[in-house]
Amino acid sequence: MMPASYERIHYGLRPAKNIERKMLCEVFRRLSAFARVETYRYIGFGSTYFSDFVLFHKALDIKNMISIEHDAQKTDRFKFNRPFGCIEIEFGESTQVLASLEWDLKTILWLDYDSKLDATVLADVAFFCANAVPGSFVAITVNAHPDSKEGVPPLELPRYRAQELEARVLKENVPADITGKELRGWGTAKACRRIINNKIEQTLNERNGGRQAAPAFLYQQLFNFHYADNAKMLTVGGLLIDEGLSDQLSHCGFHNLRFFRSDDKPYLIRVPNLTYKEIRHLAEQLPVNDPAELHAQAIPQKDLEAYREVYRYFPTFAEAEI
Amino acid sequence: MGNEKDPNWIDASPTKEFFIEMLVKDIPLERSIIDLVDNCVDGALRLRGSGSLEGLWVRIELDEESFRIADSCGGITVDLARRYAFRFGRPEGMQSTLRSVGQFGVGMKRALFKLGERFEVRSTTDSTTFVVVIDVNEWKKKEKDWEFGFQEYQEDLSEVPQDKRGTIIEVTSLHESVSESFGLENFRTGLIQELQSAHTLNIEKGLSITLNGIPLEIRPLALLQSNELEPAYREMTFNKVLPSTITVRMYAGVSESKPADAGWYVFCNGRMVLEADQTITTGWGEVGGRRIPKYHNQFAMFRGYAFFDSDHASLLPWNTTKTGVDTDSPRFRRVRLEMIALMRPVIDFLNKVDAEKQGEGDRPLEAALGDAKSTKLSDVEGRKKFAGPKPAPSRRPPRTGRILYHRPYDQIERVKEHLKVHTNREVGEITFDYYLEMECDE
Repeated sequence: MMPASYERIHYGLRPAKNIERKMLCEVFRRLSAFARVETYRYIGFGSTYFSDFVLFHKALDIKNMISIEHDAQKTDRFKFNRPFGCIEIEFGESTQVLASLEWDLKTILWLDYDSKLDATVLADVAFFCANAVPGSFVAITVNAHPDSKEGVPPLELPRYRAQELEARVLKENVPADITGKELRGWGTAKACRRIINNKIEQTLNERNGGRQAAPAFLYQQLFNFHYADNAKMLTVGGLLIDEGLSDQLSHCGFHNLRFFRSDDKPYLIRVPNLTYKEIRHLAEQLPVNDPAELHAQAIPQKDLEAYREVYRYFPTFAEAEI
Repeated sequence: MGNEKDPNWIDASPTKEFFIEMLVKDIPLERSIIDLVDNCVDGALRLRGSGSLEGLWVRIELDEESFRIADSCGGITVDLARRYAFRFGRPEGMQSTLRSVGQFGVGMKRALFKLGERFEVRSTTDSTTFVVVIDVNEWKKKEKDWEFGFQEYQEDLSEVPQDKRGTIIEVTSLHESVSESFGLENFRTGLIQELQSAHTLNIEKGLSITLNGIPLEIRPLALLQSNELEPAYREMTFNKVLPSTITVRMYAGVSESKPADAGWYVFCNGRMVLEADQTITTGWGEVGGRRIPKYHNQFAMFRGYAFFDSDHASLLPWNTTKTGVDTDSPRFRRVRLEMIALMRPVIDFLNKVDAEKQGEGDRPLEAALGDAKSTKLSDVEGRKKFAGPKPAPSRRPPRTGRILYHRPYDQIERVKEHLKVHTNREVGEITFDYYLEMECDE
């Protein structure tokens, strides 16, 4: 049943994406065990809104920022919308731009695509893993909504989905036990995470080849978000380190974050649907360890629990004259 | 024979280290594992001849610690093991499996050395059983001694039950790089795909192969066929080759349009050695007598299959890693001419299909392709020459010219939006027609 309109959230506000961004920011803050966070370089896809750039500059004081923009037609518009002077905009496809940069700096790279996982995305991931210095960080966001097409009958969908996935990411990247049945619901997101991680492991294995005495590069996955402001989305990411940095890694305390995920189990970002009054009512009582301690009034249990999970990151939107 | 006391004596024997190094360098890891499967297939052929392989299985298990391959393909006798199976190279006079795929006598040893430092081979037939355990480092230390030894064996068993017969090979103390590769899912995915290709025909004949429990699956080789669309089939026999004949069967035709799958597939005794080849090896880009264009995506429907079979595997035109054909083989060169001849009419047909797509008339070829059924090779009737439907008679269209010009993207987009069309071409044509109608009175 379709929820009544007051129970739905305006897609344009993309609250789950907003929450995710703040969660990532919290992860980045903890990178300080490797190097002061403000010395990191941030590379992302700022588009015209630069929401991630604004947050990471304000919250983390990162100044070396590069936004990759593939639409080279409206350069003036993007430049005009740049919120801070420290943001460089590089026009071109991510694959070309990444290859044109120097890679001797610790870098946070967020490949924040709206499109589906394909061979180009995997090439970007592989490029990062082959070139980034230890202590660097990568996150990959892709649309992981199960494929469907008008005219494809439901029973044919598994085969169709397997075919589409193979066409996008290429056969050699699709694990042999993926036959299509498992691509329904969040299954496509799970498959995409696996394909991305396999590419990371494969590339690091190649990079580690012939290293002799040098410490081996490792990848530590830190999160595995599922969320759906509209289409089902996957964001997976983690740290590139070398064996010598394992101590620093444990000092970061990533595993204390509620949304820390180092394996195939996802963290689903659930967006509660609450009025301002309800939000204030709940916030006054937080934090609590047990949701049963909350005086809920008439707030539905699922919204209550969702709010307790995300309240520190939860955006409140209000109309404003600027 | 001389010896160290003989002043004329010069030592030219290989060191084991060198020998092993050379042996394993030649072959990629995946291929060495496929060689082990080839040995299982030979066992299956000894059991079943050219019959169905239904009920026989090969199970591969691998991880970062160990490698294991087990089969139910009849086993190796103690005698075969003692005299041949562990020899480097195939000795003269050995009775070989008819139509075998493991003809060079290096596959198993090469794979074992490639994988790790300790291996164990156990095999049981209807009347014999043995165990061989080798620690490669220990073996290397015995510089002059090339023998292995049975850890145990029995030769006088009677009627060992079917389900106890077969061979199990286990390798432990894997080399570091091998262990790392086995830990990568992408390596395992690639291995599965290579195994599926190499053993397409044997899997189709019923052999079950699994890797870490995942069953290998294949799509049967097929060509489109209908009353109007008939694949070509040709057979050749080389009789005068001692000690036995070589037969070659060739098919050429069309199938689903898929650039990665287009090209020639070459099999030797059922083992695929060339997959979707689009190079000069199979005639593409040939400039000789019957010119064949270089491969291009308009030929994405082309499929050709060539099957070389002989009781004596050594007569077939494959290279020792079975990753390609021996292009110097006079037999292959002879067959290649036939392949080119078979392919020519298909190329001509696909050119017509492409021309039809570019034109604006009826599309009988496309319709005929749509009506044709994908037919397994064994059910393909085949004729001497490929036959396709006739293209539409060309009505002479009015003479046309092409106009090419550039405008800024945002302007084009505005017009597109206004016209509610999606392509630049439509923008050009509609705006042209508009001007013609509004401004150019007859």
